[in-house]
This record gives sequence, C-alpha cells and structure tokens, in this order.
Amino acid sequence: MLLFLILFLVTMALGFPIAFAMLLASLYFIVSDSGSDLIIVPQQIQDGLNSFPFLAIPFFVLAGNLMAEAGVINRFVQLAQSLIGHVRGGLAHAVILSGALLSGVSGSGTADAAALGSTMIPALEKQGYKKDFAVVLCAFSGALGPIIPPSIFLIIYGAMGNVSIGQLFLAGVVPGILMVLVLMATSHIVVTRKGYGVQMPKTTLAEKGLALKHAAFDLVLPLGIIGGIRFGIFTPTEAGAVAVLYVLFIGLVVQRSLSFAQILKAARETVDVLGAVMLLIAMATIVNYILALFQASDHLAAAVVGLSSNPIMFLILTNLLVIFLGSIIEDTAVLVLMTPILVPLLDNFHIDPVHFGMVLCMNLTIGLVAPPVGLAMFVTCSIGQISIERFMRESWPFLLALLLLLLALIVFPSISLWLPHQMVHV
Amino acid sequence: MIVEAITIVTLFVMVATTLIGVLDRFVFGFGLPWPEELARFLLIWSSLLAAAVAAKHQSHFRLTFLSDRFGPKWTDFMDVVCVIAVLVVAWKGVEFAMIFNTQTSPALGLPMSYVYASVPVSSVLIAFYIVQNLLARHRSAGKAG
Repeated sequence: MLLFLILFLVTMALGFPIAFAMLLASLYFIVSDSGSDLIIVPQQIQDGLNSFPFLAIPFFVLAGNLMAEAGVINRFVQLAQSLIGHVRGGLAHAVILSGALLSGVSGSGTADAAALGSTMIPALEKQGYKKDFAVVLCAFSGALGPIIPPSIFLIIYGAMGNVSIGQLFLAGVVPGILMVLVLMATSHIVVTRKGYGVQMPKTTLAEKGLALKHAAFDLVLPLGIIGGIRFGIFTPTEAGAVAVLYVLFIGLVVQRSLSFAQILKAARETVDVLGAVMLLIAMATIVNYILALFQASDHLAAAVVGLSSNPIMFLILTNLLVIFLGSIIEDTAVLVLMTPILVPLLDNFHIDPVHFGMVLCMNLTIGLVAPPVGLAMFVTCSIGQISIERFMRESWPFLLALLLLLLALIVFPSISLWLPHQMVHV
Repeated sequence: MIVEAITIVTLFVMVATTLIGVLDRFVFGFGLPWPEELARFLLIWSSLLAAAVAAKHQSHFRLTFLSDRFGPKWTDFMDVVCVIAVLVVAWKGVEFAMIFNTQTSPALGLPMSYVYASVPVSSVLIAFYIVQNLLARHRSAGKAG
C-alpha cells in the first residue's frame, strides 16, 4: 500500500502526466502484488466512465465555451455596467457580475477566467485600472465558475461520492452569491485605496432597458438551468444538453453572432478539457479500486476518529490536507482521488455530504487562483502577459477574502444547506 | 485531423441523444430506454478519443518543476515508459473486449465489445501521438543543432 502511494507520488513528481502516474503505479501494483489479472485495468476504465451524470461535464464545458464565443460577455458587461457603472470601480464590479452570470452557464472556472480575461483585461486597462489588478480581477471572477451552478467540480464530487448533483447545485447558489459580494467588497476597497479606474456617468433608465433587452435571451440560461433542476424538469445532465442547444439557438438564430469556425473552436477546446478530465477520472477509478482492496478509507476513518470527533475539527483538517495536495497537484486530480476516500468518513462526524461537497469545492476553487498550480491564474497571467509574482502581489486581498469565506462555509453549514433543505420540503 | 473531428461529431451526437431523451419524456412519452444508454456509450468513446487528442496537444496535467531540470533525455524516457504502459492497456483491452463479444447491451442490443473496443483503440492512438510528438521534437532539435 505504502509502496503503491510512493510510486504514484514519485512518478508524478518526476514529471509524468498525473493520469499516467496513476496508471503506472496501478499497473505495477496489480502485476507485483495483487495476484489479479491486468484485465481489471480496461474493466475499471469502462466502469469509471460509464456514468450518465458525467455527461454533464462535456455539456457544460461546451455550453460555456460556445457562450464565450457568441460574445455573451460583452452583453453581460454592458448590462452590469449600465446598472452599477457609475459607482467607484464600476467596471470592476461589472466584471465580477458578468463572471457570476457566465458561471451560471459554464461549469469550468478556468474557461470562464480565460474568456473574461481576453475581453476584459484590455477594457479595464483602458479605463484606468492597473494591468495586474485587471488580471487578478478576471481570474477571481472566473473562479466563480465552480461555485455557482453548474459546476464540473460538483458533478465529479456528486458522481464519485454518490451525492445528488441537483442538491449540490442548489447548495452552490447562496455561497456563490456570497462570493460575488465578497469579491465586490474587496475590489471596492482595493480600488478606492489605490485610486484605480475612471468614474462613468450615470446611465438613464432607457439605456438600462436597452442593455437588459440585449442580454435578455442570455439571462434566461443561468436562471433556466437552476430553475429547471430545482423544479425537477430535468436532471443536471439533461440541463447541460438543453443549455448547449439554447446557446446554439441564441448564437445562430437570435443574435446571429456565431460562425461555424467559432463553434468549431469551442468544440475543440471542449475536447481538450474532456480528454484531460475524463482520463483522470478513468485512471482514478483504477486507483480507487486498489485503495478499496486495502480498505484505505476504513483505516483512514479509524485514524481520524481517534484523533478527534469534532466535525469542525475534521473539516479543518481535511481542508488543510486538500489545500496541501492542491498546491502540488492539479485540482481535478485532487478531487477524483480524495472524493471516494473522504465521503465514506462523513457519517462518523455527522457531516452532510452536500455541505462537505460545497466546502471541498470552495477549497479547490481557491486553488484555481492561488500559486503554484492554479490553472485560472496561469491562464489569465498568460493572457495579460504578467508574471506569477506580480499576480501574487496584487491578489492577496482577494485570496484572504476567499479564505475567510471558506472558513465561514466550514463553520456555518446552513450557508450551503439552507437552500437545498428549503427545496426538499416543498 | 480525423480523430479530433470524430470526437467533435460524437460530442454533438451526445447532446442530440440526450435531448431526444428529454423530448421523449415531455412530448412523446414513449419511455425510450436507448437514449440514456447510447449517450453513456458515446461518452465512453468520446472521453477516450478526447484523451488521445489531449495527448497529441499535450494538455494532460503534469508537474514540470523537476522534469524541466532533467533535460530532454528524461522527457524522451518518460514518453517511452508511457507508450509501453499504454500498449499494455491496449493488449489487455483487446482481451477484455473479446470476452464480452457475445454479451449485448440491454437497451440497444449492441455487442458490448463495440463499447469496450474504445480502450484498445484510444490506447493505441495515445501511444501513436506520444511517439509522433517525440519524433517531431527530435526533428526540430536536429534542425536547430
């Protein structure tokens, strides 16, 4: 068991792709130690991928990519700006709000950050915001993606941990809104202190109406997805397929802003994400099969229960572990490895798996925008052409704010559980 | 690139299949069992083909802080190890698919080997793309030197 884990960690550290490191350690273990045939490798791959909930991953990635190609961000930003553009740091607030709306369609924080960054970093700079601040702002607004439903993280967590994805999505609504408020408050403090940005004149009611009219079709989507799941009209997976169809409908029929080349580009980006994420899931299925042979979860449970039976203590310990793992390994890999190990432990501490999913998701989301391996950070830094060091110097107030929010989520389960519980009793 | 094109088509067929399932439930009410099953099978195929495309584009997550210092020889070595591992999976994948040659899926009546063939096919493709990238690296290094 120990040898298996060491082999995995060493191959990964030496630079093998993480999915291949999982494969190599598994192959070695099965051949040398278990006495079973290697045929369980293809069998576990099939088993891991054969899941209807996982279909939601490509669907929401594709919907988000198409949405970005269709120029939705500009319409969202215009709408948000017409509403709050006149206050100090108005454009910054508008970027955060647009990130929230985009997150309501797309499931991936990295893609959202990339889409926001490529359109909004130049726009923010033009309006007198420091470039480093613009990059950081786009990265953190994109990071709303995994919190506000739909969310790839929550889909993977739900499917691998046998937790209702619909409930998880509902649980993300309140933390998502809180995260928007926290980001806006932080942005306000930074902007006023450093004097970034020019103030815009207040828009008239007619201008507000026009912006709303332009974005009306796009706004249906985030509301429709969460509403459709809430009222049991469709499952999260079906919502994803409907979202793709609807975005194509807006892009091709209503706005006519989507070309064939753009659809192709969105599809190609989706394929790359799909390949990387699903191979990780497939290989993690083999690893988890092996860990189950060792009863790793039981041993861990015994060890942790012996340590403390306080649920908050448990949550803080697991969060520290996930932050540690997330700072060396890519977040999706942490999620596929840790979910099957941690979810069975929750019963011992009377922690609601929906609450735990939300905490885990918030933790991993912070990992997306934090060094050293935050993907959203990398993507926006490369768009904005700034170094990671400059990103870090500008991002700490936002990082601190999100860590405080994570702590609040841990201590007050009702933040995530209030909405799903409301719904169950209806 | 043909594999990427097939994957993209599969992706959109998956969307369409799922939509047929939704339509069926709300409009026609046949209770068709096959859209859900077909969508799952397409997900398996498209995921594994996409994994091959991602290998070609080198977009599989990896840590580079040590391997960057070890130089190109080390990268070549890792590629060779990965190719061997993937070919072992391909060989076992063929065996696995053969075992289930006679079993058919519940809703579509499709031989399960059609689904299980995805593992060996994509494993071979992954191996092919890794070798292709390796050779391309050497060719450009040869030109530069």
